[in-house]
Amino acid sequence: MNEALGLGRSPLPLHSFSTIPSFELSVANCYSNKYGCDWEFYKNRLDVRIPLNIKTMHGRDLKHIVRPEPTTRGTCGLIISCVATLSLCVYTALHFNVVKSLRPSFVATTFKKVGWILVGMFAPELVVYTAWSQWVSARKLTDIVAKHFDRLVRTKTIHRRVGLTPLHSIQGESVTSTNGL
Amino acid sequence: MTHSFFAQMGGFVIDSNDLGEDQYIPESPRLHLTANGVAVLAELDHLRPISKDFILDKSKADHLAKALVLIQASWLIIQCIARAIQNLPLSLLELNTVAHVGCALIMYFVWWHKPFDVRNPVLLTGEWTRPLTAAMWMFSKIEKESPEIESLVHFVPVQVDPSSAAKTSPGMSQPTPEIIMLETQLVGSSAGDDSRNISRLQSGLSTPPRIVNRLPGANIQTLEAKNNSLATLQDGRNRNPIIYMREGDILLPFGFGPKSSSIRFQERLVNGPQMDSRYPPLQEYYKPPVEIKIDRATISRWGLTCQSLQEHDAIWSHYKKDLETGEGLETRYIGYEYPLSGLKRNFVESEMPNWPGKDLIPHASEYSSAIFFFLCCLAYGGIHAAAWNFNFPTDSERFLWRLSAIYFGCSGLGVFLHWGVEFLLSFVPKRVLDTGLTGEFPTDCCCAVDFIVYMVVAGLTRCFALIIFAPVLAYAIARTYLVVEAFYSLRDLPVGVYSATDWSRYLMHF
Repeated sequence: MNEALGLGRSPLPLHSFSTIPSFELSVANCYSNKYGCDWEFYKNRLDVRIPLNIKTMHGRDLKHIVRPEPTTRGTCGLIISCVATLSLCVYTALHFNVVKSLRPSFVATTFKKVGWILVGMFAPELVVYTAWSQWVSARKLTDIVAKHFDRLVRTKTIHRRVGLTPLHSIQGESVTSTNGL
Repeated sequence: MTHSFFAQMGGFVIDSNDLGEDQYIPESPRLHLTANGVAVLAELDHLRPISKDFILDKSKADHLAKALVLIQASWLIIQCIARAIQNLPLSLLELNTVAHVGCALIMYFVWWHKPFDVRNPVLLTGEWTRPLTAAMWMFSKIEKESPEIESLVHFVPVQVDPSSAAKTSPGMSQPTPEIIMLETQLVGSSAGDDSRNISRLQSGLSTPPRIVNRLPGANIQTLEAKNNSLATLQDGRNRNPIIYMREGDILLPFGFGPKSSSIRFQERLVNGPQMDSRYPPLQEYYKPPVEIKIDRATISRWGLTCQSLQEHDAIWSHYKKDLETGEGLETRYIGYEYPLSGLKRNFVESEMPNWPGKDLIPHASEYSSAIFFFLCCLAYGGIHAAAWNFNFPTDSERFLWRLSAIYFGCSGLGVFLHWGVEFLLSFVPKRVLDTGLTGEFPTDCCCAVDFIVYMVVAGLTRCFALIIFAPVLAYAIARTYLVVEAFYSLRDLPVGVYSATDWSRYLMHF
């Protein structure tokens, strides 16, 4: 675009980072070059800012390395950011129960999940209520089982127990790890 | 907490399909233990320690992914706050997203310890599983049917202690009819010949199963026929036999028999013959002709359950209610029933539901969960009501939005309506209520208030469907409207929405 303005590259020997000030008329240039329009015609109609451009020795604009955010945003960006956030929130927040264990059908499972995602999209407070009631129930279960294990620890029967799976009996369960139960 | 969640989400299963044993549950499914079931196991000392790593290994939760979502979500919230500060308008879509993000944050917090997407549950095995699973299955509501135990009466033989019998019997207000059980002698009983099957069926009980009838006027021929087919059932001569048990029949030695007042038979009461004259009413129970099918699996299940009921009386007796006493030939029986009002917990499920139901340990008070639900609705409605003065494309859209937001906020109140109705109904005499519900005008109704109440109850019963469905339908419509409007309003947004947040305002100037 410098050629177009008749300025050309710097005629001076490039022995330093010293630069030559040049004017960039980006929008106006574009029009005048591609469509052969009159620059004078657009000059007064377009909001063309004429920044003082500084060129490095390699001919790159410093201005293009760091560029300010646009001052406007578009409909598309708005929709995409909202929808992406929304679906990610719903999908990662949903914690499903164990599916039917013997040969779960893929279609049925997916159908169920999609159904819950829809509920999460349209009625998230119902899902929150579900989560909360599970939380309350789990805390109660924790109390019940903790009481039970306390009793076992007191009567010293817990050490004689084998684990739930062979793997665990080998590992030798420590009582402390069950306190969280 | 992780352990509890893992147990509660169905992480423990019992396989009811034991090799080399009799089938005792229809179709022998894998049964998931619910939170209630695990609590029972803990009380009965059948739980083993299991490491947290083992559970977390099954969990596919990705904390990095969660963190990324959180960053994205919080960025959106920060943006919205900044826009609010700079007096830039928000779009409805953003507002809706903020509400969702808020919900997601609560879900993250509450479900933090819950393992994510567990596919392979832990199989519990042991000697104890069969009786206990049979009992838990019978006490659980499976696939929309009421718990099986609810449809049965259970007669337990008691050792008559002369001193205690003398003490209790005069104290009874109403002399309960002493029932002599009609018994038939088993002809060709195969107790000695094919002892392998039978001993397994009986689970340690000494006598072979037989059916007796406790009602007067029962037919001894049918009873004999039943007992004969029962004998063929046991020694395996009959492949897939089904025996029908009718009102008054009791399968000894387990003592189970059909209970006519069970809700399982109530529909038949409405549609079928109203009353069977052959069976005189006993106590206050209204007796439609009932009939239950029993097959091999039923007998072995009842046997195992009976065993569990004896062994773990401390657990199951919570649900028990005394019914009547009966006198056998040489033993005395006490009949128990397990009323539906007590059976509010599921111990096993063939498939874990995601929706909160009977599988969870119920909260101490029902009110707190209702209040929480109300607060949820209020908060969600409140966030949407923040768009009260937003620019909408048309005025009617704005009006509908406001209406929906208010409706949401108040929809939580619907839960309280339930108690309100119950409270009001407690003032209504039961006689008037019953007649109002069935639609027969009470002929002996003399009081004007009674008449008004009757009219109200009858009227409400007529438009019951409308009362229930209208708010639900409105709720669904309001819901859909909010989401659709959030997108639809994008067609005509105020200009300010498109000007980006000016972050440089918050940066240091230099």
